[in-house]
Amino acid sequence: MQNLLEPIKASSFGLLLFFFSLSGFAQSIDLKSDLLLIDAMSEQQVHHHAKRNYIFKNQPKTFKNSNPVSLIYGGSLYVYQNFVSQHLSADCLYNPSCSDFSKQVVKEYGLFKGGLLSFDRLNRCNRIAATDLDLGTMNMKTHRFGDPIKRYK
Amino acid sequence: MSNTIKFFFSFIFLCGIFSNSAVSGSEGDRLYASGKYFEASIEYEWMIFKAENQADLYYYKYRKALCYKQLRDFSRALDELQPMYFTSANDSLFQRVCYEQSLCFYLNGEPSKALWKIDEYFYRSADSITHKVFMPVRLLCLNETFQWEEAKKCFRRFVQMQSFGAEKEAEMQLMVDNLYEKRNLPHIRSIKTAENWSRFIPGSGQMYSGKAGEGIVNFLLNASILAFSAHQAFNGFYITGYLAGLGFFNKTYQGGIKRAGILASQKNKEIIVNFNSGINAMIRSDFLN
Repeated sequence: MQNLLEPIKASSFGLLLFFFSLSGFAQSIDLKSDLLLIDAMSEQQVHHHAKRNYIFKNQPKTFKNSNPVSLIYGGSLYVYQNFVSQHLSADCLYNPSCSDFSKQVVKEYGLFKGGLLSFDRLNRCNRIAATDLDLGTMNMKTHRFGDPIKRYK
Repeated sequence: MSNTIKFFFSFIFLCGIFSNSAVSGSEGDRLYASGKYFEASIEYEWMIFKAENQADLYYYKYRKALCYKQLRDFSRALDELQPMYFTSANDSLFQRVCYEQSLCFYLNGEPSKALWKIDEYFYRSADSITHKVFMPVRLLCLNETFQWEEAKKCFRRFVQMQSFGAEKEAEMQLMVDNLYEKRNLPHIRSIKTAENWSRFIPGSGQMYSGKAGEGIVNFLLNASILAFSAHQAFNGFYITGYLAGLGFFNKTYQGGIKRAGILASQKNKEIIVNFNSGINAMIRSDFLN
């Protein structure tokens, strides 16, 4: 009798093992971790208006960034970015925006060359120029055309 | 245990693992399990390329989408999930793909599309047991789109689907009714009202949206530009008054209206995120434990 039961026991154990090995790979929906993900992402979705920094913030004081022209330029750009631009109806065509672009080129090339490049960019930020932009550089989410400063190097 | 039995055990175990090619312990699964989602997505891309039938193709596309979800790139996850079409609603992958699609739509900030996907699944799948897993996402989407009555019904149904005792269920239903009572619902700012306020009194729309400081700045900006324009016109500089004054005033006036709408929408988002995160925490603690 004992000998007869042995193969039955063994085969049932084998079947259990077979289903166990399959269930190990079964994919189920983990609702709890998805809800945790939603919670983490929701916080990021809330738009926190970040203050845009002064162009020469945390930089050692040199003639380049502390002469009156630089101070007036940096100050007016700071006021424009933080207090004026949000009240204007027009949106910039490009990414980075003209004011951010100006900040970056002035940091990179100095006030003279940076000023000229900013002037050039402002002249291209209008509806007529928009008809001649490369659609391949457009960000489909923000609807802005990519025009980083590395293109001018 | 004899060697023959040992041999059969080993055979059965290995057969169980390798008999189903779609769920075989591929390199992608291993990388996914170890948290290397980017590497796993590349591995799944290779499996997609090698897939010989539609079932395998869809499975690996689904796995690749899961990798993108873990990488927080929900639009790419949707790009993988969207082209799949299931002729049979009984396909077990259909439920998972619909669920992931709705979740990714929600996380991508498109709750209306998530609702559309869930409704499609509910319409095509008659098995109401499988609907349960969709309920929390549906509830959050309904809250986000301010469909309070529908959200209340959804939450009540979700409570019914749980295996609570009669007393606990009645208690939960009461809690849901209480949550969706008018006085407990979040106070939503109307975007149209905010814009109209700014249309009549510049800056007031921003104040309505909860940004009093910005409203004052907008009012003063508009008033000073208008005063400048009037001053120029009174002194006979009509062209300067018209172009520099009224032209700029038009920009700030229209910009103020647009900004009031944006602020109202941001405020609503903030309010609804707080409301939904309370519900999310409640579901996690009371329903999924």
